[in-house]
Amino acid sequence: MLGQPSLDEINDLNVERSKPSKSYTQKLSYLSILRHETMSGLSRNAQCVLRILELSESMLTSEILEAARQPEYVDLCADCAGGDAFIAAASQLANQGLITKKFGKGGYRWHLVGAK
Amino acid sequence: MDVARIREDFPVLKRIINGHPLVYLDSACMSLKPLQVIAAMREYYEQYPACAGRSIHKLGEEASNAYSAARSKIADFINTAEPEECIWTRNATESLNMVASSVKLPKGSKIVTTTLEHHSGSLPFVERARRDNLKIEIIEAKDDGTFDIEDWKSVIDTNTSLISVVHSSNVTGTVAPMKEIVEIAHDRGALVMSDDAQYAPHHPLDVQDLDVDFSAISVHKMCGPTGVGVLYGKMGLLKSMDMFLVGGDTVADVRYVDGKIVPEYLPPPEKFEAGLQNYAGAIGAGAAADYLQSIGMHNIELHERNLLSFMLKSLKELDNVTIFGTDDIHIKTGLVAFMVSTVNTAHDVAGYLSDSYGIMLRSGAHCTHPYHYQMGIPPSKGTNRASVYLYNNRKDVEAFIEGLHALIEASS
Ligand SMILES: Cc1ncc(COP(=O)(O)O)c(C=O)c1O
Repeated sequence: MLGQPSLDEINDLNVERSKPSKSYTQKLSYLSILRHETMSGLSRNAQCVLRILELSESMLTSEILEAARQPEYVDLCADCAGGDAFIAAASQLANQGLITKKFGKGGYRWHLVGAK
Repeated sequence: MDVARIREDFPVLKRIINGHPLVYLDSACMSLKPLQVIAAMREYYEQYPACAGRSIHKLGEEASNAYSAARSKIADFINTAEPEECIWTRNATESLNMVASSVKLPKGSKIVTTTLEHHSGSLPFVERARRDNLKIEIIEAKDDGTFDIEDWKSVIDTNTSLISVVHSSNVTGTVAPMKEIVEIAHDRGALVMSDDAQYAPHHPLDVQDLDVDFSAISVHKMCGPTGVGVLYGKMGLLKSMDMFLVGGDTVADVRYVDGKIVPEYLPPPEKFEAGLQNYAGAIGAGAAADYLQSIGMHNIELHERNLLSFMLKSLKELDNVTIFGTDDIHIKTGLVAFMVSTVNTAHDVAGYLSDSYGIMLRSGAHCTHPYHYQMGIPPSKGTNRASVYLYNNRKDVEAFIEGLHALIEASS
């Protein structure tokens, strides 16, 4: 259940607070999104998209789908083999203003809002 | 066929999406709904929202009449011998599952299906084979979605008890040679389950002429409401099948004898329709059948073929586009699956056309992963599918092609 940031995540954040970095800022925005998610009840697919995007400045749709198949996301990204429902969830996040997407060479690039 | 007039029946076509008039090319997933269907369902909810078949009062009588008339309309639409051969289900998937789990099949016999099936046409039969330790053999469709009839002749043997075959593919649009398949199957003593989810909305379907044993229909793809499907089965087979769900409305009587509960089940269709039914949905389905028949299924088929030829020709002129499925429009339903090489996944095509042009089409593996694997396409890369129906016009196809041009330029 990813409704709330876990204790481990909060502890990690406390450790990183002493050495602010780009990844710290990104993680902060990710955690604030997770808090937001408790209010808006994001789907598992949406949560998975957020988790994946947290790791990178921007990703192509195909890269997100590839990442979603990795073992660390298996618990969240159960529905991504065909990708339809998964990318539909990403589009909803973009409409809610939590992530952005831009069309260019190779297709859409997705970013977490707040990430460069 | 007056398409401009028909378009007036579909209120959603007046919508402007992202600054563009809606272009709806996803009817193979879900058709739009005409006012006539919406009105029929609304009338049920507003005027006689009662239980059919149980309540003696006036509203109950009206509901019973409308519900049984709806069954007759669907029966007429696919030309069954009697209305009772049509069972209401939730969708085509449930119809397919009902047959797969309940039809009697001899021990050790063989089920035959294909690589082109929608998962709903293969998995229930894969699971039945696993449950009862039956054999299952898969016929590989050719890359263009057609079949080699010799494969059917060699795979269907006298030990084969059941065949599940998609009449019209939701990916390649190809129409299977159903009459020939049925002839081969019956000659060897096998039953045929025809998946008509894509065929019934777009072509005249005559189950008696084809002599299929079962047919699965998806009402939401034929201008009807969501959550309604139909299973057609020959009466003798329906009678011999086991129940799928049991409970209220499936029984003539339930006696209590010597400390035991003893049910006495009704004949089909009630035997398969447990619990309170989706009356509004069934009435909407009947209205959809009426609506399509008032336009004429031959006219709809012809109109789609014209649009399909135009779409295929225009797509072939585009560099960077690969088309899947046969281009013989005489054995093809009104849909085209394709891939654009300048983007990494089909989802980007669907996203871009919706965002920038208000064009709705499908992306992904369309619940037919085996065919995509056969073609060497990972499901997550997927294909796109543009599908037409009676309300589409040439302008829709032109907008789609223009959108694709822009997409290719922007992503190259
Ligand atoms: C060929 C085919 N079979 C079966 C189905 C499943 O239909 P339903 O959604 O009504 O269960 C579909 C749906 O897309 C289909 O295209």
